[in-house]
Amino acid sequence: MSRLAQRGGTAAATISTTALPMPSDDAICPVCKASRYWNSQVPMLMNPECYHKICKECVDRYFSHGPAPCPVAGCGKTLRRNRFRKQTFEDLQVEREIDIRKWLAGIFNRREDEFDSLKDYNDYLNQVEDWTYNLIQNIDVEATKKQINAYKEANQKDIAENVSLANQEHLTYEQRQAAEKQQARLRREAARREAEEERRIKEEGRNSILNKVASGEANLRDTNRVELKRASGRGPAKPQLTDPFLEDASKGAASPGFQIKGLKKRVQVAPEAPFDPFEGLLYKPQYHVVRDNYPWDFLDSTRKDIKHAAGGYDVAQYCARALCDAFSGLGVFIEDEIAAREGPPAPEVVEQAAAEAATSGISVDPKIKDDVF
Amino acid sequence: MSEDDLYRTSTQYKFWSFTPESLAALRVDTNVAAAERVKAAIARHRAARRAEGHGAGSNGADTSASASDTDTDVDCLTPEEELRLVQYYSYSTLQSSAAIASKGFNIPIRVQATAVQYLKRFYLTNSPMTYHPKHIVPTALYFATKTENHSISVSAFAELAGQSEEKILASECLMFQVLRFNLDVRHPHRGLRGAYIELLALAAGEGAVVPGTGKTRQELQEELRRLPLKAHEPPAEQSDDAVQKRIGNAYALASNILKDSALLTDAYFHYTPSQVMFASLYLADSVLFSWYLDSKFPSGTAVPDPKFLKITVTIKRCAELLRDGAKAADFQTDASRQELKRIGKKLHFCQNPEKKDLEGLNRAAKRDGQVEGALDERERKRRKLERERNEQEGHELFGGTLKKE
Repeated sequence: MSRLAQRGGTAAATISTTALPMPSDDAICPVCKASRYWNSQVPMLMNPECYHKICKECVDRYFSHGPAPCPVAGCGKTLRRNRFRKQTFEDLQVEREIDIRKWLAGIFNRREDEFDSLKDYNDYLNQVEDWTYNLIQNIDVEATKKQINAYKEANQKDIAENVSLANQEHLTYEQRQAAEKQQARLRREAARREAEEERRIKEEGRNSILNKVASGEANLRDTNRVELKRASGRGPAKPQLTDPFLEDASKGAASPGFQIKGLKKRVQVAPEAPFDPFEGLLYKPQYHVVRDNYPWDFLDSTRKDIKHAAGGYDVAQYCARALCDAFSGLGVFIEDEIAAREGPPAPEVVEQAAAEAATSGISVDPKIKDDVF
Repeated sequence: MSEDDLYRTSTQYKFWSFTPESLAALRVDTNVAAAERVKAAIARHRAARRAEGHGAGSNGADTSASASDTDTDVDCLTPEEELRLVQYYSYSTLQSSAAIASKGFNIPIRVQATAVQYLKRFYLTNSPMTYHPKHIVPTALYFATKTENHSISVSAFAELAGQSEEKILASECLMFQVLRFNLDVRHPHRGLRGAYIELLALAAGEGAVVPGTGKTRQELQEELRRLPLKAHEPPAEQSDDAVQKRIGNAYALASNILKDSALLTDAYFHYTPSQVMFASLYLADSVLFSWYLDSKFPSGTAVPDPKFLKITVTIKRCAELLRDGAKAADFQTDASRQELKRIGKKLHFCQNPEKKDLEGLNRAAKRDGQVEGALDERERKRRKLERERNEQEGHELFGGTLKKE
């Protein structure tokens, strides 16, 4: 259909858009006319450029010196030997579709949890499926490929991340265990090496001091300090940690032409705030200001007393508490506040209680009713 | 959040503060309910005894006695008599803690005050006719040593108090429940020390001034020096030592009031600890008190702060209560002794017979009521089932026991 267009396709788009060869000429190599009927040993190979089948011997012969045009009459596409492979499915239509899907699955590997809602994810899948269908059915191939490539370029980072994520998930438990063990071993070795190095440096330092002292070059204290300094400066450099989120935040997932809706923004997790047991409640004294020190002998003697100091007793805290106690409730007028809180009982309640009391013969008091004995 | 809001979060403010009217009404309610129960309980008791007497072959003396029992009506305590009794036992709590202190275990004032307050709170919803205060006092004191973090083993305490361990523990659970699990009692004692140290600092010219009052610490020190010794007297210039001594005296006097009449009156129910503390300071040295309170509010205004006026009025009323309470709490006079004797006798005849044996009741309430006959078969079975069910639920909560493979 668009054989010409295919020639101009990018390297990534290696999927053929040619009309597929008929399945009937399956058994005969179009080059040497060797039939499987006669020689069943000869395997037939095909190339996903044009899906023409050629027997293995002809492939070896034709393409051993580099790329060459397809020997099938009227095709003429440049083929490479390393792209030839055995056919998996009997139906080449299926073979081609699988190839397209594989290729697209490598690009569109977003996960459901990257989206805000299931609907957004489904919309995305729908879009991908539309493109896939276009490619399979050869509809608007050029435009579709352009869009796909644009998406690929814009989202390279995310794609790579998801690929590595998938790889990690595919690692079986044992493999992970083995990898961890390997890591631990490496760490141990590194630690051992480091310790050895340290020991060696110390030894060297000591030896050099001894030598110097023995030869009367310097006095002991000074050299000691110098050597120590040298030793401490020789520690292994710590690898600098970079924050992957920071880099990511600068680049959005936006791409020209096509934009995925409903993608979650990858936000940097804010560092946890310090725990506040009072939940923002702030105590602000109204009637007093606490001082650091109060002129009372008793407090001074307590402050000096080792028995109190050992337990962590803080005289300043005692003073603060005492002063708080002195004024805590100074402006609370119980007579007004309690009366306002209790209020006059509703007439219905009173009547009901009276009626109950009359019928039962015992006055009702919920407070006394519940007795442990 | 100011100091006042801080106090409003306390259980003492939320559940144990009353107006005089509501407190009186509560006491009358308690008295009426208890009187009815006592009458019913005594009637049951008499009926049981009569039945017993008949079963034993009814000898003449017994029947005549039970007949006379039935005839006499039960004379219950009045709310005033109950109040007097509770007041006396509050006093006796202080006395007994002094006695215990003389035996070597010092009980700080905060523990004593808490015990007294537990006793008072206990008898707000319970009557002395139901539970005799003499059983409750040691428990309250022992309980307070625990809640005030001044603990002692129950055996040691029982020895000091001259009671049996079981007796002390018998009503502990009851008390815990009646207090509605509110164990925190706010006292004015520490507050008084706070006021004392601040006054000392002011006298030394080192006091921190509340912002907005418009005075410097030097001015305050000067004012304190020239404070008249008594109200309506000309100002007197005093040395720093004399001022310090004056503050010390006021502190000592106020401290005594807080240790005594503040505990024996209903001051804790009607006023906040801070107000009680200032009331005691007012009784000790009214001039010093007025000046100190005044220094906490903006000065130089034409009209005094309405809150200041209200606080002053409240504190003065509290002071009156404390002064009258000191008189009423004198149990050494002959008249009050006579009165207490009369009330005690009356209480002897209107005591609820079903609640007399607290130890027995406590034993019965524990695990399946192992005392014979204290709990009927059905109740025992029900409790056992309930306990098993609880256990089962507990297991399910944590996934049950692991089975061996």
